[in-house]
Amino acid sequence: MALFTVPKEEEIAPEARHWLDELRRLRGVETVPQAWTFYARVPRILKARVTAEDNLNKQATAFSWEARVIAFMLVAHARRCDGCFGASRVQLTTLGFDEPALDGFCANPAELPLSERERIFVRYVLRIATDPTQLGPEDFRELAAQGFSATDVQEIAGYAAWTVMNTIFTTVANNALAAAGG
Amino acid sequence: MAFFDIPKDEDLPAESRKLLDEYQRLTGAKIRASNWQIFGRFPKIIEARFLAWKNLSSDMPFSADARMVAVMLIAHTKRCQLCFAGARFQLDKLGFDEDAMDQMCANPDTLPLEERDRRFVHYTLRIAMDSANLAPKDFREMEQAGFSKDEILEMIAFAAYWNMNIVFSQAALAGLAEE
Repeated sequence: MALFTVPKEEEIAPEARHWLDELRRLRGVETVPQAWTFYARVPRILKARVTAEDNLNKQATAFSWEARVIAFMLVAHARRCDGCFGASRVQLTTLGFDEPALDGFCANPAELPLSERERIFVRYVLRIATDPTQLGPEDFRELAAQGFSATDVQEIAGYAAWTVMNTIFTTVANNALAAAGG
Repeated sequence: MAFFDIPKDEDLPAESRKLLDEYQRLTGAKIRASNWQIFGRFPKIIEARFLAWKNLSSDMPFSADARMVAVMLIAHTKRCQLCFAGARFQLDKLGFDEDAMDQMCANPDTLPLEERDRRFVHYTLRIAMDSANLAPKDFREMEQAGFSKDEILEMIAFAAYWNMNIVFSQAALAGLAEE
């Protein structure tokens, strides 16, 4: 039997409910994933997560929403976060990508149907999120040669950092809830 | 020449300056951390990092010793030089000498901490390094080791925060490296 269960609505403290409502507003959805309500016992976790989602994901507007969601799917795939992987594929489906296309992106991330600039964005998000220790000055030289400014690269790093944090929160929540049937 | 520059204070938006000052004050550092200052032109990044640090790492119900040892070991395993050095700086202030810190890195199973703190370090390191392989029985084990549900959530948060911070720090370090 699992230690954790997803709290019922009436068990959620007002401060936690506030942050879950804020997440609903940010995402434009009615229900939030259990990987979020799982943390409702500690409202400041939700506060930090919602702020990070808004500031590092939603406001990373130097790159298209499409490119960001594809990058997130690939990071989730690489980091084996089933919850993030599934959620990103639902979003990409609503953007018009079908399942075979999405499978193709995972199998061959170098061949994405994006502009060259956005392909590089996705490649670097994936690279920074999966192995930041391998980053070196030559990577930044390549990015500069492709027209990326220092502030562009900082947005890429911020986005990659958010994907890493989010995959951990989501993976652990879903693993902890696995035997609870949800 | 490095790709990133470290912006001067007067070049930073007021929101960033305020949060960077607060971070410096709360960490007791003599100077601003370069891996934070670099991102200072983006108040949204600074705000996200500051609130994450405060809520997921700093205001945690575990001892400073245990938290800093956990950061040092996560940074050591993930090879983040900046986080590793920062954790050792804080551990030095807490009274740990270099030999003791080296010993902890070499043998994380025999930490000179109280049993509860040792378990905290053990579980946060595990979550930080291998979150995909945790199973319900692992959370039962944490409970049996004396951690409440809230404390287990705090450990997850701590591990998630330091993984995020390592990404920022590694990007900053690479961007500051001279060619």
